[in-house]
Amino acid sequence: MMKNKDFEIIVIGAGHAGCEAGLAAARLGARTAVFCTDLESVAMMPCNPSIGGTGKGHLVREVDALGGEMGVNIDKTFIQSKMLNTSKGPAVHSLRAQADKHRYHEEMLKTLENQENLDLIEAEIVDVCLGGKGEVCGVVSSNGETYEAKAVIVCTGTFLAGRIFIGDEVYESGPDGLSPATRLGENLRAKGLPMRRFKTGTPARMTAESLNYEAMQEQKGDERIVPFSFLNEDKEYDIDQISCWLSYTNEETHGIIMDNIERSAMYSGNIVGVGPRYCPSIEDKVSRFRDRARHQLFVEPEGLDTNLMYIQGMSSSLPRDVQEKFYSTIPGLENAEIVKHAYAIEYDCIDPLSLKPSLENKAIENLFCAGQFNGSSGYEEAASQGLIAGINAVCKLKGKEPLVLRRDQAYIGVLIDDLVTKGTNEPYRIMTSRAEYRLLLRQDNADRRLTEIGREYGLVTDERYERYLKKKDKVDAEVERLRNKRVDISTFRKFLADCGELQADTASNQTFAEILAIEPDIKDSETAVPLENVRGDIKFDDVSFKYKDTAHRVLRHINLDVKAGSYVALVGSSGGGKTTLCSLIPRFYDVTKGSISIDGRDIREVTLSSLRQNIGIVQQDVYLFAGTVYENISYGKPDASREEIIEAAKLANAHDFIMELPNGYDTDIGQRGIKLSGGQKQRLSIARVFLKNPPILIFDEATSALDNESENIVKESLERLAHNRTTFVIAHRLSTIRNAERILVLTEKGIEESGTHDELMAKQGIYSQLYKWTK
Amino acid sequence: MSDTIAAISTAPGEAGIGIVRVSGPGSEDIMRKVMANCPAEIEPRHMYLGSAISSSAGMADANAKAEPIDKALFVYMKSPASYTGEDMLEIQAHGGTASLKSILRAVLESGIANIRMAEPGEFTKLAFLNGKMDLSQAEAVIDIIKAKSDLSLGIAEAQHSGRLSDKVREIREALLDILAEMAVDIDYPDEDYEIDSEGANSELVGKLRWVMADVDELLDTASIGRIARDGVRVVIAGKPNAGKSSLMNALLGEGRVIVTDVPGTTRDTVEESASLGGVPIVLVDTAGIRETGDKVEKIGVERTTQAIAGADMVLLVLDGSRELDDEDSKVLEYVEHMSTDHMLVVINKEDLGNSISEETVREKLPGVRVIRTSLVGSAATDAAIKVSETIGEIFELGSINTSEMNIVTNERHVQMLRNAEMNLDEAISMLQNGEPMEVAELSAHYAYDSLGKIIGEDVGDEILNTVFSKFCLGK
Repeated sequence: MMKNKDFEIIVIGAGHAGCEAGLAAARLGARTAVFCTDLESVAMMPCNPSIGGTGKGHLVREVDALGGEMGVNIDKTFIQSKMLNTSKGPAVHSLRAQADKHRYHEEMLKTLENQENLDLIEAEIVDVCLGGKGEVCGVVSSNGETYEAKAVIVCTGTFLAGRIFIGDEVYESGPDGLSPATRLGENLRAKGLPMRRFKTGTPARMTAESLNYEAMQEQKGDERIVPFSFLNEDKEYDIDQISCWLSYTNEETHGIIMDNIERSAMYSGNIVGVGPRYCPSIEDKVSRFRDRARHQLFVEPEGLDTNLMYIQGMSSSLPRDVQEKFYSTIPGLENAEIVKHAYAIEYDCIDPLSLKPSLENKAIENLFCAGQFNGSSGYEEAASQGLIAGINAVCKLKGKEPLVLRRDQAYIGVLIDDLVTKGTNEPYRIMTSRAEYRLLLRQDNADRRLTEIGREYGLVTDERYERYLKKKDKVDAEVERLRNKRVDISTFRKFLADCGELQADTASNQTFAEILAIEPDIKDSETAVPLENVRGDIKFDDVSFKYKDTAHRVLRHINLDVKAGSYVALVGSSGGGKTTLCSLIPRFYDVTKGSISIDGRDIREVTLSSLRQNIGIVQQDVYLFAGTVYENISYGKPDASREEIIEAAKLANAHDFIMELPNGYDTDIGQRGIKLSGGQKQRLSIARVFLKNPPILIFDEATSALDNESENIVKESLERLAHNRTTFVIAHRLSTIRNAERILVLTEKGIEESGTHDELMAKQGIYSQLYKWTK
Repeated sequence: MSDTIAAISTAPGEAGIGIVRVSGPGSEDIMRKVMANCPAEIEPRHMYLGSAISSSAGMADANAKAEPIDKALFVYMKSPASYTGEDMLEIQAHGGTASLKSILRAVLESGIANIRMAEPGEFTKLAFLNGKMDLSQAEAVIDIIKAKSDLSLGIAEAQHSGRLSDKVREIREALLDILAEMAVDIDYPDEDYEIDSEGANSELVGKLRWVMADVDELLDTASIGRIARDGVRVVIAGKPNAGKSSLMNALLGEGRVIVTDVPGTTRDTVEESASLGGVPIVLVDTAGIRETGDKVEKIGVERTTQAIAGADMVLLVLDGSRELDDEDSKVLEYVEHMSTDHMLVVINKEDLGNSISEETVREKLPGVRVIRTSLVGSAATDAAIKVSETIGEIFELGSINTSEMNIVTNERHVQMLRNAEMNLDEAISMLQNGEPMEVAELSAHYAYDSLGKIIGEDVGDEILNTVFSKFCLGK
């Protein structure tokens, strides 16, 4: 007897897959029924009370971008939020939130109940009906009622023929003590579907008040909360986050486990199902990795209104008495009151190789399968498949092409492709390492990747789509700006050269995008070691240099020995190579022939960063960025204290004028109305070098643009700076270098003259000629 | 059902015996049709004597009788214990062209389903596809067949036996451990594993350097490998009529090149392969280098300069009976840029005079090896021995122990090793520069792929398998 409204789509199971499948189908306009054995099981979290993690967080973001519910639901109910992997690049940043397990269930239940086109029915489904062509046409409930449908989506999770193991205790059960779906498994098997048995496990739950938190390490949530759903991107979250706690097993724990290992259901041979390698039981960890003295575990709250704590990392199928014994050896859990013991659960699932990429069954038309039933594990994996199965069931009924995401489009694509083309021998968990296109599939660009697809298939609401378009326009506009905005590099060339990020010979007018694409010519050699404890002896050994792609040698056979702490001035006509010679020392260029050494070490054999750390440069054009005086000085040593910065400013004769600025050191020099003179800027840059405190200095025409008074002040601070440091000065004004210990006259032929001012004057050569001219 | 393929596997021409080879599921049926009086019970991998008969199936006249073709030995090999891993049949008959062709025709017309001619190299391809050998081993088969010297054969045999594959596998295994470590670091940020990966001297960089050193070691053998496979390219240069062709003939021991006393006889380069003391050599005789108006000879001169550019070694022949002249200087100019280590000056025509001293030669080519000879009669033979000894000395080929060393000869392998090296280098510098792990991982992963291509192995789930076997992970 056929009865009940004419459902188009029936979903069996209301776990994370079933909820997404049912919501997607109903939202796409199909009359949908979602069946569950117990309303308590709607979006239940029978295992860890958290959503997300590496790879999994990506999945949730993707489900959300396509118009699924999981992200929205966890944003309503999380009690702690953490972005994992932030020490790495953005591609593997992964969001994870601890959920209030009960509220998560309640909120999802509400969403289902309020969803138009969707009926939530509490009944156990025991069979699917097939039509004349072998296609699915409905389901049968345990009390013999038949429900007609055009498509059926199986999302039975771990309920199908579920069997629980605690030591030698074995009983038929769904997760968390709910009743299993026993007959459906048998009936599907009888219809020729390739069924198999998998196993998973879950740890014990303990009362919060029985634990000693002093003995464990607190694990707090992030200060800045990033929500899962793109709909909540600009929302401020001001919640009191609940902490998790970290503790470790020890030798005693391991001893108890090993003594009783044969009493574990896993080892006694009772369990035939295959368990996941990435979710081993504690007895598995202890026996397989005997050299490890400890294993970590996290104590996680299950919600705000419950006093249950979840012991992550400690699943087990050992008997209750053994569990009580080993849990109590763990710091913090000594007096733990166990509410639910750890157990292993075995369940029926299908070989996913029998599915099409649309998640439709190959043998039975219009029968779609999703979630743990397909051999996956995890709430996020289930939700992803549920969403796709829901969309594709509707597509099938409408005669539309199914949604099949590619491996380079989404983790969902990787997940489903792996399942239906490679199959799996264990409950399948997503991992970023499974994604060949890991660097493209970021969690923060899931909207960019998938919102339009979701829109096309009809699940993306107007609100979401408009938000997405706004964000997309912003991003596109900025990218476009960077691509087209031309900048005159000379404005910040010196700054970039300081960082060693730019060759000085790059074309002067380029777009940001072009500048970003420039690869440094000069890199660390493979065997480079840090340059440490520098005295400052510098030696040029037969150095010749020509710029790339030119034939003309700027420097020829330069031999020069500069003792640590000495002061060397370079003079000569422009084009004589003074600046070039100096720029070889920090390796803005590499010598063409010969070598340069510092304290006897070839500078090509040390790391660039350590080399440049030891060299201070004061240039004619000072680079100051928009920001405070303080920030501009601290650029010389980012971790410097305020005292150090003030000291450096004093040494540079800058302190007095800084104090006269409106906000002293905190004056924003990027602001309108704040104007520093050339000499003041110069002194700030000298302060930077004082702060950096390098043993080697290069002054490049440092005083040439200043008036006389400024010059004297700057000169004084430069002299102070040069004290006891190896210093190279490039100057056109010969008056400024009269006192140099050594003056080198550089011409196209090389170093033509060398000596003190008086010696060179007496020589009546090039220097004396130059000196007379500039006089 | 898969094809059954057949071919004559021995070289064409007249020979004592020749072999027709069959591989595929139809092998046994073919044996029973083509070999008359084939016993009912055949023991695989045992030889039987029988008589090959022409097949009646393909004949127009249904009543035509099968005609005997030739007496032949045959052997049946049952899958998987055969070269290709499939069922195989080999028929050894007399080596005449007609006889073997008739047997092949009988096989092809035996009426067995999906029988066809084998494509070149297909037996070995099947062996690879059926897992009898990996890709580098399969590639060695052609090298064994083409080997012209003991050295090339030794290297090819070693590769065929799987020594190179073993080494590549060993390197890959080390890299696999690194990749697994990286995967744990990326996918399990919460776990209790500290991976020392930051900076130039981190453990991870150290491990990658070890792998790269292994790759480099293999790559270093590539130059020897090329020489061993293709031969040392020895170019004989000198002005016209200095005796280049005579030297070549002495080395080859035959009168292959026309030798006259008219200058400019050899107008083109002439190449010959030879094995001197087990070392493979490609001798290139050149047109004498001189300024010339003769168009043909001009082209010859151009080819000579090209040949010198591509030479591993130059034998410079001088006419010792006369002093060095402008033409000789011209020749010297051509070779000036080459390392004198890879050069041997042969001062010829000792019998006619002694006008060029070794010192004069060394003035122009510092430190060059010089021998003095007369390339006529038994002196020529002595000269040839001296020259071949010098070649062996220069390329240190005598010291190569093919039974222990891994030598890379295949250009494809070299390419893949270079890719691996480049990617490892990139991974290392990325880690050193503090790039994120997942970015460096990509380069290391590419290196792993490239190494896999040498032995024809794709990347599957082995990284994750290693992750879970070596690390204790999970909740």
